[in-house]
Amino acid sequence: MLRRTARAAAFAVALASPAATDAQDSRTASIEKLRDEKAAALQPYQPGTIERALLFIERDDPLRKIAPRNGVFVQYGYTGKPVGSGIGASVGYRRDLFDGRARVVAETGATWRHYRVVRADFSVPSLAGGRLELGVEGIDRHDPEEDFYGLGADSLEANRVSFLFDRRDVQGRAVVKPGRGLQAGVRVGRAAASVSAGRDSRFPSIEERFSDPDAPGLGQQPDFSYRDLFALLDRRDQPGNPRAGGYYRIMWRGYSDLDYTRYSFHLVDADLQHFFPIFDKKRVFALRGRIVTTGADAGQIVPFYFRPTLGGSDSLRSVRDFRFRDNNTLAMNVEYRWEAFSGLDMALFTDVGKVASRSADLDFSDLEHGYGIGFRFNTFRSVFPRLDVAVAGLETPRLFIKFNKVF
Amino acid sequence: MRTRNLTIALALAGALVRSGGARAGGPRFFGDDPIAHDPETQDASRVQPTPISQQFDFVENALLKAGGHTPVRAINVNTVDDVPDSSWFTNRAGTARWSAADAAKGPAPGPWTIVGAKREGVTPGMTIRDPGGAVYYIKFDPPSNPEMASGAEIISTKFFHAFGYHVPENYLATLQPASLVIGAGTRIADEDGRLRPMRPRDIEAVLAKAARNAEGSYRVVASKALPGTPVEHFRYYGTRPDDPNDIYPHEHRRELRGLVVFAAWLNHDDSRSINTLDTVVSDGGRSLVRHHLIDFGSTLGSGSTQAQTTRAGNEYIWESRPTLITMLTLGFYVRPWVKVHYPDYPSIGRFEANYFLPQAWKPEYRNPAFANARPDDRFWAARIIAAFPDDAIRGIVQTARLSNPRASQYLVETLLARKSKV
Repeated sequence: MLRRTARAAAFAVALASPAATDAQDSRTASIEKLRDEKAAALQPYQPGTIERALLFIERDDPLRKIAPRNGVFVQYGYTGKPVGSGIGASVGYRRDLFDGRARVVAETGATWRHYRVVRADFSVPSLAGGRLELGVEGIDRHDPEEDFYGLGADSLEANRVSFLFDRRDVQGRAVVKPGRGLQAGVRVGRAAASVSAGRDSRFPSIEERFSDPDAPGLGQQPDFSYRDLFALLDRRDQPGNPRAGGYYRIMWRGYSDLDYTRYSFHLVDADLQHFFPIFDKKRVFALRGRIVTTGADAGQIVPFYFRPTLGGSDSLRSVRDFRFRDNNTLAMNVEYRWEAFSGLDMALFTDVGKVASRSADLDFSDLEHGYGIGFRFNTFRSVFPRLDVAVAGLETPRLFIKFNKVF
Repeated sequence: MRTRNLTIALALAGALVRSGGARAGGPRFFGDDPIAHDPETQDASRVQPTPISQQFDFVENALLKAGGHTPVRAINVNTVDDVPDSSWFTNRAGTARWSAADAAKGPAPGPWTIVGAKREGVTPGMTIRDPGGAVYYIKFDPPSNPEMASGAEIISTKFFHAFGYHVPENYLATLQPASLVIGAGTRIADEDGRLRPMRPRDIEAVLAKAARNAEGSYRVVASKALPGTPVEHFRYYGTRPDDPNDIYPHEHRRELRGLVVFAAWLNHDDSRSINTLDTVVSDGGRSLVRHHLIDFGSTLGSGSTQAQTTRAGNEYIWESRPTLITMLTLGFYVRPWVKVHYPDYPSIGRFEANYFLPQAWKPEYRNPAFANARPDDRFWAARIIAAFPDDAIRGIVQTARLSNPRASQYLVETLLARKSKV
């Protein structure tokens, strides 16, 4: 830019010089003389380093080259990467088959905290004119530093332990998509779970502080078969950065213990979100309620590792991830979001929630609560990243830096 | 930056003093003053394409203030303060007229052979060759706003041509899917940017993102390929170092400074380098770079893929002061333009005249030529707009063939009201 400006100044000076005007006998000749001088000193445009780099990014799209839709890919994170698992990446292969009528994905990923996954998925996504998807997925997860504080609302922060959770799943799915954001489907699968000593050196391992009665399922982990039914309606204007509309999902899932006839249970997960915009969507009131309940027949019990949790960056932000765990959870979030400029939204939020052993106790009394402020850097279609600071009473504020939206 | 700007300012001021004849002994006027044509006599055949990074364009203009701000008179005006005809501009004020025959021009009916297409991105399109061999780029309306982007493109193209700028020939046309033929050897980039032979499903993918007429056809803008060899975009500051005819810093060209007034009138908020195109054309036995304004899909009330945002024309993408105020007041300060009311005409989008203030109007981000515009530059442009007959404005709006006559009438009334403010 400096060169261009200097060049412009030079031509302007030349234009002002007596040689450029007075020595000529016409306006045309004086201007032609300037052009003669420039013609003698032509040079190609030379972009600077930053401009060259940005041009390369725009024209060659290196991100698309390393993470193409079809072919070998490398990307940040992996499918279903657990919260708190640390920075990770995955590598894999994916490709549309039969002119886009089928798709195969295989990936393996790992994090610096030694979490890892191996996953493969085959789908036929556009049957019946795009209204039916069939698919099968196999996944092997290794989560070595999962957190546990004990069950219930009275669990103590000081009792934090870690456990290793391995899980292998094979699952088939059929999803109907009638249109207008509506989906309904069924999934059936088989899961093999395994719990063992946690690998987080900062905290004791689970067996050092808890036993099977305190953490049901700690002593033995059966294989499960499961099936679920779900329905969702997605009417958000931009799913990655919603400012209007709503998202409503409900799922019922039943697990059957295949080994000990002791750990069969069912789970209902309802997630309701709605966004009320004002001032041309420059201000948004975002509401979310999520309730997860589990139940088991007499003589059966829900293993602790499948029980829902409360706490963390997308539920109760004033406490740590997975801080509370029990048979049932309730979480509600209210956010007032305002656009500071088109690349940044801010938010004031309050989170409340509770866990309960019995679903009947899942009322609005004795709610855990927190509140805070958020900064969400975004494009029209997505949020990246967000910084949320949350506090509860006089406790130490918690900071979350995430590369996704809260809801 | 300030020192450099001062240098330019002093030099340009000197030039103006000299051309004005204040120096004792020098001629006040030459025999050929005022010149009506800029003598662009050099051969520009060595000009090479110079791509512009959109992100860098934003950074250097919005944040680094490229071109600076130098309060000097435009340097390419003649001694009667007019802009000589050049590869940038042709004086057409008062001479532009459109007939029914003009409106009927465009690609010839019959099979349209697809020679290129873009199915990815938010604005898909295709390039076709009509039975007469002419090549057109086809643009569509978004499904949410039928007639909007095409109407804006057709109307604004005519206005900018009438003002005097070089623009593409844009025509309203009807695309019949059955008349599309994939040309032999036509290739298309897949999701990963790899070229492969185009298939019928690719046409479906393009059309799926477009507003469709009830009978299954598509209203489109057919933009005729510009003559000459494209050499990418021009910047709104500096000069092309490889073009011997390009001697006036662009930020000090009258027609680029005055463009801010035309852009304000028509709400051309996307008036940035990426929406310009230079082509090397043959002229009188030598090559010449012709400078065009292109892509008027984001003008009037159209934001190309949706109705124009309320911010358009009222605030840059990034401005520190309102941003800080909004942050610190927890959003209780609401920018006044957010509350502006727009009538519900999907074929127009968001376009109004009550809140519009020509002198306060802004493009998406800082434009160096606009930033250097002085009152005399603005007056030059305002004079052209003022001379535009009202019936000519009505005539141009009619060429958009909006199906809702009330929308068409509203657009005319809004343009006239904005014209009065200009």
